[in-house]
Amino acid sequence: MQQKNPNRVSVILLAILLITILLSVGMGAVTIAPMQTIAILAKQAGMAMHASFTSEQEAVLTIIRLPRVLMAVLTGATLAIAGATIQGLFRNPLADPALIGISSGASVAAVVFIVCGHHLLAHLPNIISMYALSLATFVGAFLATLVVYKLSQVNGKTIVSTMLLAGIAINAITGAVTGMFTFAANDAQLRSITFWALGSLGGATWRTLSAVLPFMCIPLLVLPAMSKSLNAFALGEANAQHLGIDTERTKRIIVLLTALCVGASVSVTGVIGFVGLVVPHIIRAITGPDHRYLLILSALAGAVLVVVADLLARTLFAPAELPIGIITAIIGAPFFLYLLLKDRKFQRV
Amino acid sequence: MQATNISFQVNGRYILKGVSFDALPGKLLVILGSNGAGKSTLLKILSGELIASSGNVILDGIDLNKHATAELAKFRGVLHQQTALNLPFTVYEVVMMGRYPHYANTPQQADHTTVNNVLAQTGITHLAHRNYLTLSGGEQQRVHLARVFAQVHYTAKHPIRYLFMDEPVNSLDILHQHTTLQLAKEFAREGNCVIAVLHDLNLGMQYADNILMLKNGIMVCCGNTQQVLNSEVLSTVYDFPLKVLTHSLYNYPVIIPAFAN
Repeated sequence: MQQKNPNRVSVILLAILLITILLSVGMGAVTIAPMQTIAILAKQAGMAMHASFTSEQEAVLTIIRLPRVLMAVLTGATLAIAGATIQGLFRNPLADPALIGISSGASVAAVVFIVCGHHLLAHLPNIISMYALSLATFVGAFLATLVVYKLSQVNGKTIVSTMLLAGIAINAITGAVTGMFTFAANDAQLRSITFWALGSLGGATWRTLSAVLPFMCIPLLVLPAMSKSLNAFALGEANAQHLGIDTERTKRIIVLLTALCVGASVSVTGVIGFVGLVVPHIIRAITGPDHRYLLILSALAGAVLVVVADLLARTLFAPAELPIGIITAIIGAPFFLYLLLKDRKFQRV
Repeated sequence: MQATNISFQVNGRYILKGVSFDALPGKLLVILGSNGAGKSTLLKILSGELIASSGNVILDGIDLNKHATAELAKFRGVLHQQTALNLPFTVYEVVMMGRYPHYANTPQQADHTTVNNVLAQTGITHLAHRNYLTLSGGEQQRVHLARVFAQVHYTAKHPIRYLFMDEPVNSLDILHQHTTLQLAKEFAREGNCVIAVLHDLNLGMQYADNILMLKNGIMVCCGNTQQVLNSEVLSTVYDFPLKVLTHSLYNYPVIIPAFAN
């Protein structure tokens, strides 16, 4: 396949993202036309436009839809960029935050927090309680990553195959812990836990958005700066080192930042699978494997994917809402199988 | 570059024992020896991939471990026997990776010039825009050769550059075996230091300025090719009767098995 100009692809993706955002905030029980959305936003910014809208539309847009869609943008972008980064680090296009246990570490922390957290929260000051769940999931994600990382260190070098196997072990352990806590949970908590297992953007508000914003923005801004190191990693760690890359430092930064953004996204939306796996594959097929473009384009495409998936999740069976994890799995899993079959010769591991 | 008393032990067994030698600028040093003699291990220690159990390596007047990774990469390249690259980069992109130590985020005009020169030098200009994964094993090896040459291309700051190669001609046809070693030799002639592990005795003898012979982790001899080049030493190192002849037409050494059928 002929590789496309990355700059042109990024402009196209950005345009698609803006269009999907505009469509997505307008669709649902209360319909808002794109022009009305623009007029409402202009009003918020202190400008007047000719399009007319009702105060109900204004309230729905600013209080419910906008934070939710923005959360979808951020979640999609961080999951996809984390996936692309992890795949680069492991030189394995099948690696994924969920695969090496980062997501399950975060979600087990969330589950423990839901079941035990209300005792804790009562004693915590308000500002901390706002960030508490984000912090818990970050700690969960970070601990999981740290354990996998430490287990796979041999003589100061990371053995990738051991790291993947350790991830499988972490997934099994967190699965068992999650199972135990579902026994201890009451009905309301059980609902929350199910929500975590399948993912939903229903909990997105301005408050939760501001709680995760820093955790998501830092990795989104810093990870693209790692692209040269990630390209060199494709030649193997020893070769990357011979090309002047401080490989151990690179690994530390990547592990920390991916734990940060995956933990933050899990804290609000639960586990949304396949975004980090499928999006980088699509981008690689379009513009090639250079991480200079791959990371940023994956973030844009991941945002589009999650905005669309969330739109489907809340409109397909309205007024009931489908967990978004089901939508991404339905789109992602067959596509992934197709990729496996098509690219089998590139999957020499 | 000086290596002093290098030993390497795994589970109490010596892979290398007390190896000391100097590698001089302007010279191509070839490491020879039978299978399992410790050639690749020695090269890994010289390039810092393995830490010697004892002994030290001085590169450019400073202990190898004291060099900053990023700075070292500007004047020392290492070519592995095999490179596992599984992503569909273009050949040009792979060779440009050799310039990574020299630019921050975006390649400069000088980096593009260097890459194009090196592609021409190694005879792979016609492959520049091909997908690396679709190349043959030999072509892939030449791409990595170009990559390390792009890496150690001339910089004013480091007059002496270093190139370590582990069996660089293994998967190459006879034409490219010779062009590769000719390039390595030319690079040494510019005042640089080249160390290559080779399998093929004839190739080694033909191109080496100096030769280091290993047997069971112990250095048998190290010196000028003319000094090392004798039938007894070779036969001892390889446990096989060998005879050194001088080719009547071209005046270079030819090594043949010394027995009649």
